[in-house]
Amino acid sequence: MRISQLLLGFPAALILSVLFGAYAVFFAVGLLTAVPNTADVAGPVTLDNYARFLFEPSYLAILWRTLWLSTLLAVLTAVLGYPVAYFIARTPSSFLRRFMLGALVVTMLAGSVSRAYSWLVILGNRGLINSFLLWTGLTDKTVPLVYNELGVSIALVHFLLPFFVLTVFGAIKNLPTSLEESARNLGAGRARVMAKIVIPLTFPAIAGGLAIVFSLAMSAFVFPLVLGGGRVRLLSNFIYDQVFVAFDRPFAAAVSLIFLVVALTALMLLTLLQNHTRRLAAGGFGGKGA
Amino acid sequence: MISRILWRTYLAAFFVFLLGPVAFIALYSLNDAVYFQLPPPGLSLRWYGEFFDSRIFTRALKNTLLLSTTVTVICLLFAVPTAHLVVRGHFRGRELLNNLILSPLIMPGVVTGIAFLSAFGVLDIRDGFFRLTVAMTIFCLPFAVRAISASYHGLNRQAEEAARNLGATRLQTWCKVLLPQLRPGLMAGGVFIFVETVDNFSINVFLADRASKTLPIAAYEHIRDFDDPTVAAMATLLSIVTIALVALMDRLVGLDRFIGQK
Amino acid sequence: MSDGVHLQDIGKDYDTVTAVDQVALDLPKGTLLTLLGPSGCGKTTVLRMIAGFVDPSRGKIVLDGTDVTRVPPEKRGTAMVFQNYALFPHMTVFDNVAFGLRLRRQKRAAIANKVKAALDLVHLADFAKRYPAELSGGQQQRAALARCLVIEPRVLLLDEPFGALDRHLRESMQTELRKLQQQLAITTVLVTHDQQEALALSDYVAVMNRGRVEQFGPPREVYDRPRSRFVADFMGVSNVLAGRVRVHGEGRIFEATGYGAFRLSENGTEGEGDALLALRPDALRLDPEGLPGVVHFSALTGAHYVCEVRLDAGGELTLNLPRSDPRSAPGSRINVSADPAEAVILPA
Repeated sequence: MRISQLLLGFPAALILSVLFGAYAVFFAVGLLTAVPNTADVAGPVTLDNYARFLFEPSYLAILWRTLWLSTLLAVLTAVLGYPVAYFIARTPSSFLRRFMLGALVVTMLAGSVSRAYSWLVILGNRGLINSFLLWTGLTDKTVPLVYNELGVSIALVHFLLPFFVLTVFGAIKNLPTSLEESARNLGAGRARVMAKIVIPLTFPAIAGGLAIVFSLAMSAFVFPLVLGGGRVRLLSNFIYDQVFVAFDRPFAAAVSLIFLVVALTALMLLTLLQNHTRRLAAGGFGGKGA
Repeated sequence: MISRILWRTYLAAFFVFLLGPVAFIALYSLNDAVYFQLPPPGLSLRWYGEFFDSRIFTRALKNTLLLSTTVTVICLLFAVPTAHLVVRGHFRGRELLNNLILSPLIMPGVVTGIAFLSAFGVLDIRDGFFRLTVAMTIFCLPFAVRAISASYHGLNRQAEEAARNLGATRLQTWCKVLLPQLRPGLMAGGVFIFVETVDNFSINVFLADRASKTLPIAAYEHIRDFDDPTVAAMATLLSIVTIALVALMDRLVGLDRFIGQK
Repeated sequence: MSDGVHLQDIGKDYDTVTAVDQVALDLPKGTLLTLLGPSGCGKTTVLRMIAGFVDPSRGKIVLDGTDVTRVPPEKRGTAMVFQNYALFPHMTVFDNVAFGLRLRRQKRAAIANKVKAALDLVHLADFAKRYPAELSGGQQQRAALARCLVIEPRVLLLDEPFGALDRHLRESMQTELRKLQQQLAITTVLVTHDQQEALALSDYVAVMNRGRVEQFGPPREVYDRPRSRFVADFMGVSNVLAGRVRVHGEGRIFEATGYGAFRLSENGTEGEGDALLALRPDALRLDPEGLPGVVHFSALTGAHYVCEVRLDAGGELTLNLPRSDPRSAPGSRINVSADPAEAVILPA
């Protein structure tokens, strides 16, 4: 048994050592300094890169902006997505359920560059929406929908929705309908059943879904790159610029580590929330599985 | 009554929003003009012609298919023993191992991309295809492990005990009873890896060299430098492949079963 | 060592919990033993130790003269019908049944013949090409049984095999199983918590409680002469009275607090002193000389009424009255006595 476990563990060990080896090298680089006008790095070991980021308000603003936008988009996605997840889980029509699940999965798997491009053409100054608005005479000037946070946000919500809906859908489907029926039977209206039964009992899944979409929003890269047109500065793009524009890999590494720490802390808070609500939800079932 | 109408309108609007971009890009790819025009001047397949005539895109297509296939195979081979260990292993730190394996999922893609770039730089590994293969295998492993683990959790352990009881060794039990039942997980995992590798931009953009560019990188560079619907043709082709794979998965595994397992 | 199943003082500890302790049973070849007890009593652990899925912490397991304590499950020659049958969902009924034979590298033609014979035996010949999901519960169970019988095991193991079936089907499957077991003379160990099932099917019953065997013997003996309060309760004795045994004239009586005196049989060996008296409902009868009381509740169970009687002395008894007896109605005054031959004295 021991030996077979070691053998089975070989692929995992290989993968993990390469992954964490890469990260270790990367963060070591963050302690060095870039050699100007080259892609090289050199000593001595210093914390300057970290200090440079943490004491520069305009850099910190990028970090806060990224956190704030990710939070906002995660919540928006949850609010928009939850009713749809509920509908898919409860619709008696298996055709509708399959169609909707199919649409969500296809959207989730559709290429991100392709979709960013599609949004660019839809939202662009000479794109679908502006052409339509001008053609109908609703406006006489183009409405700026891309190369700003609005365009990036629209595309990101579209990107995040399938992840949230599919995560929450499973939890709602596993919730016995008898709970809702008995609440209705005892005199609760639809809205009250939703607020008092369904949402509280699926809260762990909601928190889990929020964690997923929040971390996806935090690390979003393609959509801000294509739809932000260099004017929307989020952390991923800032790091990218440090590597490909400023050729300052040590600084990029230091910012990445700060980014990672912030993102993981936020996720940890969400996981705590999830565990806490799971205990509450489990208590609702008479303590079963608590 | 009114709330019912509002509710249906919301659902309809949701799915129009969801499917809009894919549907729109498909229509746009058939647009005869270079720029977007309303109403469209005419239909044609000229942008598909442009796509297949372009050296850059055909090369990227070949690269992408080769990379995705390689990564799918390697990743599944790595994921099966790992999933077994994560679900069935008896050792301390099993939960930790699971979390470590899944950790690339929460690492921002850009950070992972630059980390690999730095590591390959230090090791002086310059072959683009090799770099992409390594990075994508590691990045995709969590998807595969998750899908296969889900299949593992759904198994009836008694069926395995029954096999042992009827005279099968551990290995025979694994091959004849377990593996066939893991097929849904393997398939779902495989589709995920394949699509994820075809689609990945944020990691690959750091690691690809001139010869190993994949489609998303070629597409991004095209969008950056030109303004014509060639990329719409590419996006439509990829969507068709994705829809076909999802439909296949639905036929073979059952989509709602696979999602319900999560 | 003789043929059959021999458990020599086996025990199993999980960390600090002892799940099974000092279980010693000898089962002759061709007989059926039932391990009977409430959930958590260790009966399934014993079965899984025989199959080899649980390693005993102590003791030896001997099957047909061979010590198999350290033999892996696949080499033990046992065959088990699992609680939920554990049919391989991706194989047809035929392939499920053929599984064990294929592992034994038998000839293709021989396999086909044996599988067909086994399916005939369990009346599933027409279902060979179906998948488990396409079978009813009873059919799945018969397929699982055929899968075991076809490899001609040393011991057939059954883990609560009838638990998932509805009552009607359960009874017919029980009869079918017992007939097959006797016809093939196959040594069998069955686990259940249903005392009716244990009585109906077994050559031997082992009543288990908290990891130990409380009583082992033929079903009639366990039924008629429970040796402890636990066994009496579990075998459906509803009246267990506290009191003391006393010599009274020629014979002995049991004086129960709150009830009165019950005559005991002549050939009892228990001495005077504190004890418990166990009376099953059918040990009680109407007797003008008996203890007076009033029926305060009755329920029809088929052939008879189960009546609860509150005695004038204060205690309560449960007894059976024939359906036709008008005194079964609540409010009837009756006098009750016990058949000395069926009164069982238990240690206090």
